[in-house]
Amino acid sequence: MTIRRLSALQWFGFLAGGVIWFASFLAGTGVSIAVCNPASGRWGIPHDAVQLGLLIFAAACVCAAEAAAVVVFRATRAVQDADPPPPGRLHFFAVGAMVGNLVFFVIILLTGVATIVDRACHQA
Amino acid sequence: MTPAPPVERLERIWAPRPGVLGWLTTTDHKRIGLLYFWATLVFFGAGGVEALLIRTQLAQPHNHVLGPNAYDQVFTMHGLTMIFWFIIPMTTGAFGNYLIPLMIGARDLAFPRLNALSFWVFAASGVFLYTGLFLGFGPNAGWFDYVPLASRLYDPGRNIEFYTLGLIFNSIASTLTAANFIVSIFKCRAPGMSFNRIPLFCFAFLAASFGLLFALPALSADLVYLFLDRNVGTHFFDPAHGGATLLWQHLFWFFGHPEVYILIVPAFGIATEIIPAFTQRKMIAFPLVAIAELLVVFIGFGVWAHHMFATGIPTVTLVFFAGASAMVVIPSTIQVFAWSTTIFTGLPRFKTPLLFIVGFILFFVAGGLTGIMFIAIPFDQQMTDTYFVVAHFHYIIFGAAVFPIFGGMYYWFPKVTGRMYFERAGQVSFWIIFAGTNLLFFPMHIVGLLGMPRRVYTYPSGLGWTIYNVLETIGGFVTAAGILLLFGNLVVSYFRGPRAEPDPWHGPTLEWSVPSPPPEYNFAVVPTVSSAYPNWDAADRELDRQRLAAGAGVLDEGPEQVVSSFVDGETQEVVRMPHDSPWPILVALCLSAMFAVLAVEKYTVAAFLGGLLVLTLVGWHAKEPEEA
Amino acid sequence: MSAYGIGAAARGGRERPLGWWGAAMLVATEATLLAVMTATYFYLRFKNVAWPPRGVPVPTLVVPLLVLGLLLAATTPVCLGVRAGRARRRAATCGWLIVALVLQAAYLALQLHQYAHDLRRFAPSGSAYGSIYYTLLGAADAHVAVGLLLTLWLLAKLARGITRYRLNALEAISFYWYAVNALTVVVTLTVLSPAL
Repeated sequence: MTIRRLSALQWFGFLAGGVIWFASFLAGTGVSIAVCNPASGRWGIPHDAVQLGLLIFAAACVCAAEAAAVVVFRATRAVQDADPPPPGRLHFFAVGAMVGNLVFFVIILLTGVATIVDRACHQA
Repeated sequence: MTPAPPVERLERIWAPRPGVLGWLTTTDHKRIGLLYFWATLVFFGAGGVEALLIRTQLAQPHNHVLGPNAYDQVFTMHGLTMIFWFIIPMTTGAFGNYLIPLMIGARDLAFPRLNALSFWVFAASGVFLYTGLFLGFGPNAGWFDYVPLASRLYDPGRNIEFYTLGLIFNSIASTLTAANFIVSIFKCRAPGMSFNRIPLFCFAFLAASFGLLFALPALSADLVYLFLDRNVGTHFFDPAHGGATLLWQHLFWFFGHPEVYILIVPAFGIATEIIPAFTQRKMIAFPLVAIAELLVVFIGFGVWAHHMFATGIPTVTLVFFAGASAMVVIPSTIQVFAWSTTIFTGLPRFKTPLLFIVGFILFFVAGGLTGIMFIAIPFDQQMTDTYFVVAHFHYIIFGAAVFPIFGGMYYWFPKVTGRMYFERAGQVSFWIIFAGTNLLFFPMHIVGLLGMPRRVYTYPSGLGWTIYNVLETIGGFVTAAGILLLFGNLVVSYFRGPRAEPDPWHGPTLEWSVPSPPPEYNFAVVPTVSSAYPNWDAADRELDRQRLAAGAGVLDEGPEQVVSSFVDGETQEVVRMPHDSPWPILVALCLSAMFAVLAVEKYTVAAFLGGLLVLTLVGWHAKEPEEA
Repeated sequence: MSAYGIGAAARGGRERPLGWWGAAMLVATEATLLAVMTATYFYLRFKNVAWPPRGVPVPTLVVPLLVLGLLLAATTPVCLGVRAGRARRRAATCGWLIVALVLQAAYLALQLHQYAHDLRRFAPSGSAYGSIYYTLLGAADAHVAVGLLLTLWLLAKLARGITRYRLNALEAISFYWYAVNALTVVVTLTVLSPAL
């Protein structure tokens, strides 16, 4: 694979997971707040369906980002941490992205499942 | 070529104005770092005195050293001072300013005059806040200033105006510094310093700067709402007219939790400098540690409502925050394992700086473990607003965030002053502070579990709290004594300490490759870099010496600086840097005058001063850099 | 300087000047500010069954959208001005910037007129709706006002010739305008949302 293509994969792998997690986090939180408030509660937002959709969409995107990171990592396997760029930099971001995306994936899974299992608007 | 050797030309080009005027108009990142250092030390002293007043008041039940009104102001000011006027400006302002350009091989930050403006605005904001306190209008609703307590109805004095305006003012300074650091680290790196070769210290400050840049606007919006509610009669936080009290908490903690990581991440950065220097070993898992520093701050933007578990928000909303809070442990733990493994597998020399870092790791683990307990929503609801919380966050904010600051003061002392500190006294100061800190904060866990609430000015006897409070107060004074010994050591060493070599620790990064103290231009020849530990790459440093001897790459045709490409650090162009300017301090003066009259509700005068501010900004940009 | 391989090609590359990066930082933090205020709008809206409250008229759609169109129309001359600047054509640069300035100033004047009109009907101190309505719109328009000052300053500079420094300023200020236009669209649609 060309360096240019690997670079694109590297940025996608490094950035997409975080962006998707944060966007789905804001959307999920916003929907849960909307459903449980007096005015927006009347809008008939299907809470569980939205959360499930967010869960599936976000998890799929993060998996794609993780796959991209793995591809870059495998392509730069022989590279050392401090090697000159682009290979050194590709390797560096790929390692980081593989760990970061894993963390984002677990957060998405934990919160997504919890919001669907939990009864909406009940207070602890 | 002119006959004068390059270094002499550089000396002449970069020479500062003499005397006080030189300090007032300086744009040198090292001088601004030192100004930040001295200013934050003054605020640290003030915050420390407030802490001792609190502990003296709480030493015995039914004590009356401070009345309830004075106590409210003192504990609020303690929190504000230590967070906004000590830790953030000490780490970003002092350490970051002084060291980041030296570590990335630059001659200054990307925007030197903006840096000076940041300092003067910061200094003025602190004077503004403390003016409020001395007028009897110190902020008095806690550092997080919850409404409705902070609304005009329950807090009719001008106290909260000093809070809102003082913090908006302070966040301007922090935002300027953060933006400056990000652009500098992205664009002013030495040739060859691609992203995988940036020192971990700089990654940490990059993370903190991004945190500041995106978190502070939420605080500013919140403060604007509160100012308008109190002074214009809007209803943002007033449920009777369609407002929402919890809005304050959401916005405050959207800022406030990233803020906690902004406090701690620079400490991670300092640790990742000191550990390699004293174990003579590169940090293990370099990419993981770098990414973990960024991840901590990034995930920190998704945890804010864990400060609001007890406010009656539906559980279905809270789980989002509990989930993210649980997983932020992973990047933190990656770093803990990396630090400890590096120490275990290296050849550690337990000098004072490394002792402080070991103390930091212990406190971070202890405070982190109590932090994990709060992720469980029922536990949090039980322990919220007790001394258990106070114990937890002081283990993190004092034990984990301030210990590396102390360690860093010792570590970089020879670089900044050209003198060595006294090692034995340094080690003694560590043990006193370490013991004092544990004595001060550990019993707070127990009184917290026994139910003692925070922010009360006194408490009844017979609840079993007294003995712990006595121990805490003793611990407070022991800690203060240790800190005094630390500064005493540094002051005496400054005058009497033995001369320091340029590189007494065989340190890993570029600041150790230049003389101590560093010259105004930092690097006589622009260094080339081929790893994240460039001072250990002997071949590269030898190349620098050869190039200097040959006069190649000295950039001595004016105050010049290399600008490099964002990702891979390839040299792109040479730019002329501004050098010594009176405009930053003038702009800061206009801005502070504007905030001062806003506090006394003179809005027309404020508008006039705003116009003056625009004129000073035009003056700032009147003289253009010469075309390189 | 040749030691670093800096040639004309490197200078003309895709990398932006430092000033542009500074503007990007400013835009990042200001966009966050307006995003937070937009979130405030919806947070308050979720809580209030009557939005806008009784006695406050629902905003009209046509006029505010036309006024917004004026601001967006200024994007084209800004863009053309940057192109002319890169080609070092000073008269064209100034000309396009003046066209943009007129459109942007007209937008701001009409907005001020709209505020005066609205203030006769409901005040920021009347309800939380009024509070966030004026604060959100006012915050966005304050950014337009700052942009006008920046453009005026740039025109005064460009009147005395084109330098590298002024071109960097042009890049930075045009980026600021693109961002402010996008943010104003979000803010305007937010305050018009009860009528949608």
